[in-house]
Amino acid sequence: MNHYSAFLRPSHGKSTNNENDENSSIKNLFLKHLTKSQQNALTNNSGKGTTRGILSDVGNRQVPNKSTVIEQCVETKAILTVPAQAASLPIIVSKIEEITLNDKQQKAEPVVYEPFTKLAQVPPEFDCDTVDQANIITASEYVVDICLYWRELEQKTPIRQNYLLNRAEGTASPQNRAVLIDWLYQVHDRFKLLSDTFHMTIQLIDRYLQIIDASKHELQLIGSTALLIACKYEEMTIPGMNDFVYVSDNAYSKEEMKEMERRIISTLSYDLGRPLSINFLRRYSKIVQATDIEHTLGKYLLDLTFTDHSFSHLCPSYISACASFLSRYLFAYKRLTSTTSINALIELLWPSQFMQYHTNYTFDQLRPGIEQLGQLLIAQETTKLRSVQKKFSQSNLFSVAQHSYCKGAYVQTALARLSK
Amino acid sequence: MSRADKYEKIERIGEGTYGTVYKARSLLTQDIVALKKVRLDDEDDGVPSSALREICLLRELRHPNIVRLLDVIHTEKTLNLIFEYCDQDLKKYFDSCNGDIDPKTVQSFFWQLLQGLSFCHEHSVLHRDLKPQNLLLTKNGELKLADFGLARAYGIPVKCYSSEVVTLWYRPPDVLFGAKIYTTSIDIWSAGCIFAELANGGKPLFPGESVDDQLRRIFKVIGTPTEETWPGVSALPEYKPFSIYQPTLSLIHFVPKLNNKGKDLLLRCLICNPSQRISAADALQHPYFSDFQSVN
Repeated sequence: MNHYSAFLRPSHGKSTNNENDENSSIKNLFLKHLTKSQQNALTNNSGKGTTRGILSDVGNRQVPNKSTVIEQCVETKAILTVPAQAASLPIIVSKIEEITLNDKQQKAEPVVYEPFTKLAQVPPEFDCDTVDQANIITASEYVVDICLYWRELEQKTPIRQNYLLNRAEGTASPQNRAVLIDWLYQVHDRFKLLSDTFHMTIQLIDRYLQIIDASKHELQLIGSTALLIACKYEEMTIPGMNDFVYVSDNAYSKEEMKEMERRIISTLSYDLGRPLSINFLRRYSKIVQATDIEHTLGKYLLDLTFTDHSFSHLCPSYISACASFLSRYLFAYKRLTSTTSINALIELLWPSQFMQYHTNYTFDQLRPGIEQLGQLLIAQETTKLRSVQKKFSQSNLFSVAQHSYCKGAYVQTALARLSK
Repeated sequence: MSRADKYEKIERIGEGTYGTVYKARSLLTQDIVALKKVRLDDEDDGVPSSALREICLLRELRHPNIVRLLDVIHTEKTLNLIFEYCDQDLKKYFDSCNGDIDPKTVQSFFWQLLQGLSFCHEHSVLHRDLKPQNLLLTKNGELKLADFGLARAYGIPVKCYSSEVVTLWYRPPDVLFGAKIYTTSIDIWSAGCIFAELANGGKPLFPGESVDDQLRRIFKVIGTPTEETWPGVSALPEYKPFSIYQPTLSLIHFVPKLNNKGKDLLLRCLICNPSQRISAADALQHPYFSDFQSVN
């Protein structure tokens, strides 16, 4: 079983989606308008071995799949103990005598040092990170503490349920918000931005709109500016304001965008760092060793929630836990026979003690969120806003949106079995 | 009176990654503060991303060893960041101490540096520009990490980030070889260089003049990495072979005034292979600090 190499695969050269966009509400010309240096940045990337993954997540540094993880673990131990301790330490000691003769307390006593950290001590039965020690991209020594910190942080910046309902005539409605986000999703895709950037954009929009009664005419400016701010926070190469003005067909000016940038960041008191559901999903996919396609389906589910206002208030850790469960359940349900116990399957997908430790959610807590996500997936057959679906129909994303496990009737029966 | 007029500039004290820093006085409280002024030009695209990141990250990071951001005043033409005032930076301190720093002070400064750094790393932030100029000192001997203009939040697994980070003398070999995937170990290397510099009363450990010169200076002291000691090194984007210097003991000779345990800790910070460098949290537990009386 591969564990999370799905988002580590290099992208296949240039843009894959310059075609098939005649229906798009934004014109077919975005890349033309990018400055030369940005175009170069986009294309150069692919040659240098540092291209973003197909899911725009991480670089293409190889992450071992499960079997090599074990090998690497053994190898690491050897490396860590041999050169660092057996080799270098005694040498230091033997030499030091000559150097520190006047240092009486320090007579060639070997420094015995076992790393011991004040970070979270993970019980061995729940440990899934020690094997990654040699793999720096996993930040294995800090990952458990960072997840705990994210849980704290998400509580500090809540979004109210249905904050857009019952507002004055002429102000932004949930439908306006949905259209805006569907359009922004295409802009994001065209600019080849990271998925983290888009997740952050949605949070900025929701956190701003829940405080400010914005008119629907301002929405495009708010959304574009939120995307720009998220780019400045997350991206290495940031599209220029002129690019945003251009893709918005000059619906606003650069000056208005600067003014809006000031308004958004001061309204949010400069507290822009908020954990993203995509970060939780990556963590969950790792600890449950989700396959590439399962992880991708999880990402699809998260991206589908963007346009649906009824998901705005859900905590990033919660909605990603639901997406992690549902994506794996949809694959597992196919293999379920009438004699298999559904409870046994649930326990297999969400081992209660292990997941309680790592996510702090029980399956029962996830139930309503899973149902809501499932209904959202079913509704894709009739929706008019199809940007997310279109993106996830591409072959480099396993065409998950077209997968038989995402068909309404199948999802419906799978959900029904779950709620029994 | 506009909000910017709440502060009266006293004198210019330096340049940050972006913008000029002044010593200033709050007219409301009479407190002395540091004011970093970022000019926003018409041609610019609003707030520079370095300023935006510094503000956001410092809003999150509240720790005695990280400089406090007190206020932000954002007008059409300028962005003013108001920080707590510190008397000097470690670079200026070095200039004033004539090449000799008391071992207790060395220990205290390095302890505080690691405290601040460990706090950053536990909160998923990389500093990416640790150097003496960016470590501020107060009259009471407190040390604070400052200038988060190159800092960024990292996700897990970490993504590609810019390889144009960290001032040359404090840049680790992996980044010198063009690595774009790096994590907390990038700051540990810089911290190690600063530790040696502290122990030597302000003499920089690896004052290279170019990327190649920098790498050569490093390898001469701690040995040239090979595929055996550092699997994957030759696949780094800007890798080139260097003459093979054996790992010698010269690093120890470079810090004659540091005690045994300190030398051991230094060696664990300055390992070419990033996955083997000690973490800030582990470094704080190292025996070098076993006799340290923390003021915090």
